[in-house]
Amino acid sequence: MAARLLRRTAFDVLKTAVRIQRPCSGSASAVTSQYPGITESHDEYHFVKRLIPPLQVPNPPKHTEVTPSGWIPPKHTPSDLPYFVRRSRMHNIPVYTDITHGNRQMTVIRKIEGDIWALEAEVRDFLTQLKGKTPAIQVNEINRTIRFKGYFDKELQTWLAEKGF
Amino acid sequence: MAASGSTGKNAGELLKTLPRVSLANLRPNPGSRQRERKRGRGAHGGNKSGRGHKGQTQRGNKPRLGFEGGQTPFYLAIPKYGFNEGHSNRRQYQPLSLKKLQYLIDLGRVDPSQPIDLTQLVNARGVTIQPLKRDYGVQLVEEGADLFCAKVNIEVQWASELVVAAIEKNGGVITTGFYDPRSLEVLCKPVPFFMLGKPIPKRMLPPEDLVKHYTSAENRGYLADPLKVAEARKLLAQKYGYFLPDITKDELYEMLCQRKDPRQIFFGLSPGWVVNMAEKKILKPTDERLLAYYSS
Amino acid sequence: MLRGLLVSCSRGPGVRLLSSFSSEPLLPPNLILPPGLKDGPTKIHRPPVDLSQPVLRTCRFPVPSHLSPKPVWLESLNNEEQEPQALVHLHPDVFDVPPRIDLIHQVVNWQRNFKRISHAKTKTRAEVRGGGKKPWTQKGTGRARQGSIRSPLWKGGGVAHGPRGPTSYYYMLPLKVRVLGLKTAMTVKLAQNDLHIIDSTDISTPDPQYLVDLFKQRHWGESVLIVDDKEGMSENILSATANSKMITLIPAIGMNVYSILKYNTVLLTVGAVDFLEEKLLFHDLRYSTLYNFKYPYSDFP
Repeated sequence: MAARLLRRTAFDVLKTAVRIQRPCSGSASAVTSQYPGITESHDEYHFVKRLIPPLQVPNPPKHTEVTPSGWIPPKHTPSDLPYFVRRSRMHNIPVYTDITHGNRQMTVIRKIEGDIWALEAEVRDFLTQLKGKTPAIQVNEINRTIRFKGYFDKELQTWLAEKGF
Repeated sequence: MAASGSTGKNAGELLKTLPRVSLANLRPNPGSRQRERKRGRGAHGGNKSGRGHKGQTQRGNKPRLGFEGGQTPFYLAIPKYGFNEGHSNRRQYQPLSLKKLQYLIDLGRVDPSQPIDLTQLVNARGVTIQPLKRDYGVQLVEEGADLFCAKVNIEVQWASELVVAAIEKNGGVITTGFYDPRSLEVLCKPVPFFMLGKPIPKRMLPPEDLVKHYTSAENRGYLADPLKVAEARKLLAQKYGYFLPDITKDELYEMLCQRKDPRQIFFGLSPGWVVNMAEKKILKPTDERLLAYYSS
Repeated sequence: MLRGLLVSCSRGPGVRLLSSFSSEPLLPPNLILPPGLKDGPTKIHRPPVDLSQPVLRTCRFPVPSHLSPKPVWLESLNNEEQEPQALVHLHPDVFDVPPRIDLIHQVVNWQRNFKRISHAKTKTRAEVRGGGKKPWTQKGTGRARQGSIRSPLWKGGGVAHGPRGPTSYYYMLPLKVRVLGLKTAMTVKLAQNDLHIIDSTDISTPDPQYLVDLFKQRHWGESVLIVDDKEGMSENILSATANSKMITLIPAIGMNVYSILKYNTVLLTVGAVDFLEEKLLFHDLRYSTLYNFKYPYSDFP
C-alpha cells in the first residue's frame, strides 16, 4: 500500500490534476478484535451506508418550472375539474403508448379518478382539433383508464401538465 | 358487481344497497374467462378434432421442420458465415442517455454532490445491469447532450467524445473505468455481497484489447496519465468550442477530484476488508501476506 | 340457507329504511321482503357532515390533496349503551379505493389454490401389476387383437389420462395485486357498513356470552373478526373467544382477503389500522426491489 502511495503521488500538481482517493487503512480507532489476524473499525462504515440502496421513491425537489430534462412538476393547488389524474410512483404523468400486432398503435391514460366521461369528452375535443378527425376511444371504467388509437403521448403529457396534474 | 358509473363514487354508493360481498358471490369480470375448446369433444372440438382431412397431417406423419421434399433445404443451401460467432462472449455496455441522467438528477434520485458511481445509478434504478449476461458496465449515450446542465463527478465504463465534452462543459469530471465481471457484480449489488461475509475482492486490470482504451487520455481512462488528461480537456474544449471552466476554483473541488484506485471497487473501502452489516463495522486483515496480496 | 337470505335481506334494505340522511329510494323495485324479519331493521351510525365531533386519530401518512380522509365512528367493546362520540380518520388510499370485485375474486382464488397439492395418482398400464404377456395370438382366435391385459380398455387395466402424482397448483399473484386486494376488501367492508373501528380489545369480563350479546345488540352480524395489532392480547378477550366459532381474534399480520370476506363483520383496533395503513401504503411509494426484502435497505423496515 505504501509503495503504491508513492507511485501515485508522483503524478501530482497541476491546476486540473485530479487527486485519487485513498482509503485510510490505519485509522485511529481500529480495535483488535477477539479473533486473531483482524482489526475492527467503525470509522469507514459511512462509506458502506452510501452504498445501501433506498426502497422509497424520494420526493422530487421543489421545481417551479420545467426542468432541463423536460419533467414538469405537478401543481398542488386544488383544481375544480370533475376528474383528477394522479401521478405515477416515479412522479410522471401516466400516459403510455401501447402496440399490438406490430401495427396497432394506442395511447393509454391511466390512474384517472372522478368523472371519466368528462375527461374523455375533453380529450376527444383536444385530439379532434389536433388531427382533424376523432380517433377511436375506449373508456374502461373498471380499470379507470382511457385508450385511444394512435400515438399521442407527447401531446397528452403536455396537455395534462398544463391542467396541473 | 358494482362497477359502472360515470364517477368513481357511484360504485361505492351502489355497494351500500347490494347484498354483502362474501365468498359465495365472487365472480370474475364477465368476458374475462373464456371456455376452453377441448379437442375431440362436442360439435366444434369433435369430428376430425382439428387434424384436417386425410394425408400426412391427419395421420401424424409429417417430415421434420425444414424438409423440402428432397430438394436441398434453405437452411443447408445457404453457406455458413460467422455473423453471430462468439456473440455470447462479446462485451455489452448498458446505455444511459444524458437526458436520463439529467432526469434522475432533477428528480432527486441521484445526488450530484457526491461522486456518481455505477452503484449510485443502480440504487437510483436508472440502469439495470446484468453481469451474468456479459454486461461490463454502463455507457453514456449522446442523447440529451444539448440539455445536460449538471455538474457531476461520474464514472462509467464507456463514453463517446461528445458525452465527455457535454459533461466537462458544465464543469464536471468524467472517468472511464474497467470492472471485471466479478467486481461488477459486487459493485452493482453490494448488499448481497456484504451479507456473504467474503472480503472485498481487488479489481482486475483490463484485458489486452481494452488496455489501450483505458490508458488513453481522450477516453478519460482511469489508467491514463493525469497530465495528459488535463491537456485532452483543453483540446476538447477547443474542438467543440466551449469555455472550459476551472474546477480548482469550484466549491466542490474536493468531491470532483475523488477518484478510485485501479484496484478499488468502492469509494473508501479497500480490497481485503470484510463488512459486517449487522454490527456496522469493518474487519481488516493484519497478516502481511494478505496485505501484500491486496495491495499489489 | 333461508336464514342466511333473511339476514342478508335484513341488513341491506333495513339500512336504507331507517337512514335519515338519504331521501332517494335506493331499493331495487322488484325486491320482495319476507314478512316478519328477525332482528328487525338495523340501526346505523353515520357521522354528521359538519364533523363537530373530536377526531381521535388522524392519518399518519399524507393524504393526496384531491382526496379527504374518511371519518368513521370510534366504537368500544366496553360501554354497551353509550353512543360512540369520537371520530377516526381513515386513509382514502386504503379504505376508499375503487371496489374491484374481480380483484377480490382473483386474490381469494389464489389464496385457496396456491397452497393446494393434490395427491391424487392413478396407475398407468405400465404401473399396474402384470400385463407383460400378449393374452392371445394376433390372428386366428376370432377375438379383438390385444397386447396386454392391463390396457385401459380392460377391466382392471391402467387409467389412460388419469391424475398423475402430486400436482402443485402453486402460483403467485404479484405483490402489488395482493396488496390492492386487501385494500379493496377493506373498502368493500367499510362501504357496506361491516367494518368498525374499536379502541382496544380489552374487555371487562372473560364471559363469551357478553360479546355475543353485545354484537347482537349492535347488529354486528353473525360472525365477527376482531383484528388487534399486538400479539399479546388480554386474557379476557382470549378466553371469551377461545371456544367461539363465530368470533375470531387475529393479529394484524394475519389479515387476508379470505378471512375478511368470510366473517360478516370486521372490527379493527386503532393500532391495527395504523399497522395496516403503514404496510399497505408502503407499496404505493416504493421502487422495484433489487434483492430480497430480507436483506437490508437504507429505509426499510
